Amino acid sequence: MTLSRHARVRDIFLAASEQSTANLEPFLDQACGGDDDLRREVESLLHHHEDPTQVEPASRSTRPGRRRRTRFEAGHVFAGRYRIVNELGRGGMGEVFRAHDLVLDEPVAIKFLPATGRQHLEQLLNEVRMARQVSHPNVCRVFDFGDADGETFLTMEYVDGENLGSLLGRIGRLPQDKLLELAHQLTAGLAAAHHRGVLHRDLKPANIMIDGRGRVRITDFGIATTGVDAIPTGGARAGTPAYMAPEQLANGEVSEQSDLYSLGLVLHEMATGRPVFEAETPAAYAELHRSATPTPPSRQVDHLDPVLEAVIVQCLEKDPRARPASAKAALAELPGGDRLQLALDAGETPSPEVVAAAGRNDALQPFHAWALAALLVILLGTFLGLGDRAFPGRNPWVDTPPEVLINRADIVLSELGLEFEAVDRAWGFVPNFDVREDETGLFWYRQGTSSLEPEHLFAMEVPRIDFWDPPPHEAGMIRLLLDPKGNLTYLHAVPKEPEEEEGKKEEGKSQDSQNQDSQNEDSNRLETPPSDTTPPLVSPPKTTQAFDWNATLRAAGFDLDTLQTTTPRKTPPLFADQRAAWTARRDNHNFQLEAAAREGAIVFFEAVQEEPEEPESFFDFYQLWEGYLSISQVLRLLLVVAAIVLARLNLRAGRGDLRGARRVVLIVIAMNLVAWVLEADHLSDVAGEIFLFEANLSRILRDALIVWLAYIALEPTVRRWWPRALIAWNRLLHGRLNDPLVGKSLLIGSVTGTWWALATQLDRLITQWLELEDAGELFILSQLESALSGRLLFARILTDCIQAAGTAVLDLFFLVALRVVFKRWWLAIVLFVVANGLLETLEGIHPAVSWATLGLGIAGVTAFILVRFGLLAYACALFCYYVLLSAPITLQFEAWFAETGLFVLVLIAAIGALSLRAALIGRPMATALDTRF
Amino acid sequence: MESELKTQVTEILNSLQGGTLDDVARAEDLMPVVYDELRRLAKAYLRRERSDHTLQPTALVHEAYLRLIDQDRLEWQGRTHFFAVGAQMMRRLLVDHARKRGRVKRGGEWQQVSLGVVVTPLLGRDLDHDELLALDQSINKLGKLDARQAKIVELRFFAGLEVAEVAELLGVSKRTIEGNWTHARAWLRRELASGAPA
Repeated sequence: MTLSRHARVRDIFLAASEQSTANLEPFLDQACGGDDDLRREVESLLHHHEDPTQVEPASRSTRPGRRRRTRFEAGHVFAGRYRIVNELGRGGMGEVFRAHDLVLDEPVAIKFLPATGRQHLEQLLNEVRMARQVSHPNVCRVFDFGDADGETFLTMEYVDGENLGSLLGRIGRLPQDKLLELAHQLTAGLAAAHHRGVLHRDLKPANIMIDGRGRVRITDFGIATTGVDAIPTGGARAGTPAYMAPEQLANGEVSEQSDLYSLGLVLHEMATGRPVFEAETPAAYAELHRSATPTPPSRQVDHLDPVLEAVIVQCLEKDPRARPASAKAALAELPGGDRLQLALDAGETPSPEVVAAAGRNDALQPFHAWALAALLVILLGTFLGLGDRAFPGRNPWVDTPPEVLINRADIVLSELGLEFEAVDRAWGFVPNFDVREDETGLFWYRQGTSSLEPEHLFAMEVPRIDFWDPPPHEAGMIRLLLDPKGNLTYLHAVPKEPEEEEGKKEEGKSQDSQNQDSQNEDSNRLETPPSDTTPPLVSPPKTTQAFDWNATLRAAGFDLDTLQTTTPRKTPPLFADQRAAWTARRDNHNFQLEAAAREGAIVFFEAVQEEPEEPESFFDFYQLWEGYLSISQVLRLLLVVAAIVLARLNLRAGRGDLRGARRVVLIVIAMNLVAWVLEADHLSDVAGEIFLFEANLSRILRDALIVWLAYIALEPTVRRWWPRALIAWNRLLHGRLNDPLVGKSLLIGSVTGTWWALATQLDRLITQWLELEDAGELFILSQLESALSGRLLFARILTDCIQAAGTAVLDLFFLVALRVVFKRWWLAIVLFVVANGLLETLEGIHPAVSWATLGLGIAGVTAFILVRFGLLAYACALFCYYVLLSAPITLQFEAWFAETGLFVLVLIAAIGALSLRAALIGRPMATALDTRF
Repeated sequence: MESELKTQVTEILNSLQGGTLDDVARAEDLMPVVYDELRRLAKAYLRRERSDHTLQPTALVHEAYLRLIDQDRLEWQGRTHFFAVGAQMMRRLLVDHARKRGRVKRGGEWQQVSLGVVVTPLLGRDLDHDELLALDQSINKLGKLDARQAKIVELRFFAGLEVAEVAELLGVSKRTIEGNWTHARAWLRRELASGAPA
């Protein structure tokens, strides 16, 4: 076969394919002449010409030779205003042209209505009036309706794209994600029109345009088949029976449900690439729609989203009442997608469910997820590595595990002759209140001859045994404080009942031995102060013998040579018959020592470190703080009142997220209860324990009520103005732990929180490095407390969680409130960063350094995280930050508290790992690193 | 990194602005990128769709387009140029795969899955590997008779370009394209129906 012959066969074939069956034979006879080979060739091609299984979509039906002359030539100016560009299509409802509006200088589409449409002009006008009210990105807008040059026409938005029919013909079925996206837009557009009371009546692929950016535009809303009820059933109507609901075909009954049926057919076709029903005549279509059950799309294609399929199947119900109640309802059923935008576009406050379902495409790319996870590990490692350096020296408590300190307390007590029976003991760390900005703290130890139980005068707080509670009023109770070197700095011992003569003897004995021990120090023996300095209430001493204080002073770690006797200034906290006081100097600090004894036994000792006179400060920060406290109490009350008012408004308007609030509240209550069980020191007395539990429960419920109020009051505002911040949060609240977006938020949150913790360390390190100021030590007391007891640590982690969530919600609200007040996001964000940065900087050591590390490092990142990743990421960041700072971090693994620090690091790493797992769910593109395949 | 690639590909395409199909065919920088992307996508698709392993070449090319092109910056002609390259690469990819499958029985990376190829406009069903290779040879054969017609087939089959786009790209009328396309389909069907190409 030669080239020219190929072309010739083609020409004859094409011409022949245009012939009707009757004309074919004569045509071939004539075209091929006597060339039998040529004729056989053409016939074999004709035989393979149309495949019966193939249905040509509308766009491909424009076969050569079918073209008719158009009504207008390009360049023709119609109605003195529209310059015709080209014909876009034609159908039963008239021809559509692309034109240029010369007045508005914009492209438009003009539809010329056929004569039949004009009979229903009034109805058509009505429809156009309604259709014009529909303003939705997925609905092609109708501009105007006119009558000119003998033509009735409509002008519409010109959509530069192709219709769905032609797209499907071109690419077969749609890929899964595209399918969902288009299904959403389509349903959203339909919902918006229905909302305005406009029915489409002829939804079909040819009426659905997809523009260059992949956005759906439904065209011909309400006008496609205007007056369909006036047209005889089954008539040769141009409207497409292939896409009409059974009831619509049977008796022209149109409703939202008939549109939904058409929608179901279109979605089905989008999913499978084939029309649901195929028939030759409208009557055959009517029969199919009436009785044939459509094949579920999943039978034809694999891995169709089951939720989408359920919606399709429901839309295709024969009985209109069995279909979705509305397009909006169908939209709510669709998986994922951007219903949020729909609600926002409609100017509504989106419902929490919509918020939770939105943003499905925001998940992390696997590469980014892995990179974040790696970053988290690096940050945690750095944090651990710098843990020790944040202390200018060594953590003073490294070498003194609690057991050593307790042992030391025992030794001190036995040296002092206070060998009371210790039925119960307790210990912990407290700040040294004598020293300004003390961060090293003191170790407290106490024991009692009966079980120690908190008396708990502040019933609404978690009852805990501490240095003050229970107050030492029972005979035999002892409490003392040790500094990191094991020196006694405070002692308060309630003597045994006076009846116990033996105790006195014992004390006398120990005193004797002490005397022997210190005989060589006799010259330095300190004398009791003159009796006239004793408090007037002191009864005449039973023992006149002067008490020997040397053992006490040695236990306090003072060199007896350096002591100067002085007049006692402090009234002992309990009755005493002898008092003494000294001044001393140690480690460049001046101390005032006070001691008291009763009946030959020491009852009180205190070493007060004297602070240098505080320089007059320009601000009296303490007073400022006091003022702030009282103002903040008033403010708090006002805020609660405001929250009640706001919550009431929101509830009345149906905006409050009751379900979300209930969940938040239940979670808060549960966490608080568990924290209480863990943290409280429980009583052996059942009645007392129940009382304390009730008191604490009332506190927990009060807090829960405030949380509920705040959530109902604040959350809708955020949801209205900035719902994207709430997507992941609401998903987590709806229990979707294994959600890629939740995973992403938590992963980003844990990285951010770790960075914040590191920034706090850096703030100290940089300040030290620049030698700007003595950075002091990280606040380690509460960290050490966490290390003392696992249950305390867990309780703290729980309360950290609640606190992080609360702070996050309030900060988010603050940001949104700034936006509402100042009307601009950028201004709100700038103000937020400045305000937060200032607050953070106040907590730092040196203003300049802190501004850089804390102000920008924390406040700047805060704003970024909130703005970019939303509430959940921010709350998670706060949580990780709190938790990381709640335990002592050290590389000296031999230290007694090292494990706690490591546990906390592992906890954060575990959160990171779990969120990484969630973030990667459903990402088959995780090719490079995902080894599951 | 990805956006850098996007920018690059978009720039290459923009530089072809106004070029003919031959210029596009010489856009050698583009081909490996497009080929790799298609291959990656195909693999991902096959993994995801474990049971039927069908590929929609046109959908893949479109996805590759979305992934490789910065749509906001691409001149409008670039779109058709991209699809011209995409069609060529898709065809090569499918044929490479079908060949490899014929040759290697076990152990290669694609072997675990059987790849069916949907080419709806032609037979109305999936093509298997042999049919795909036969189709490829038939297109080659057609190319010897009429190179332009073969090109039309490639663009329509493997990139799903519309008639108007093909017309634009090849610089001929839509009518010519439509005629050639109708004829080519009948011709190819006949070729495939006759078993081994004559």
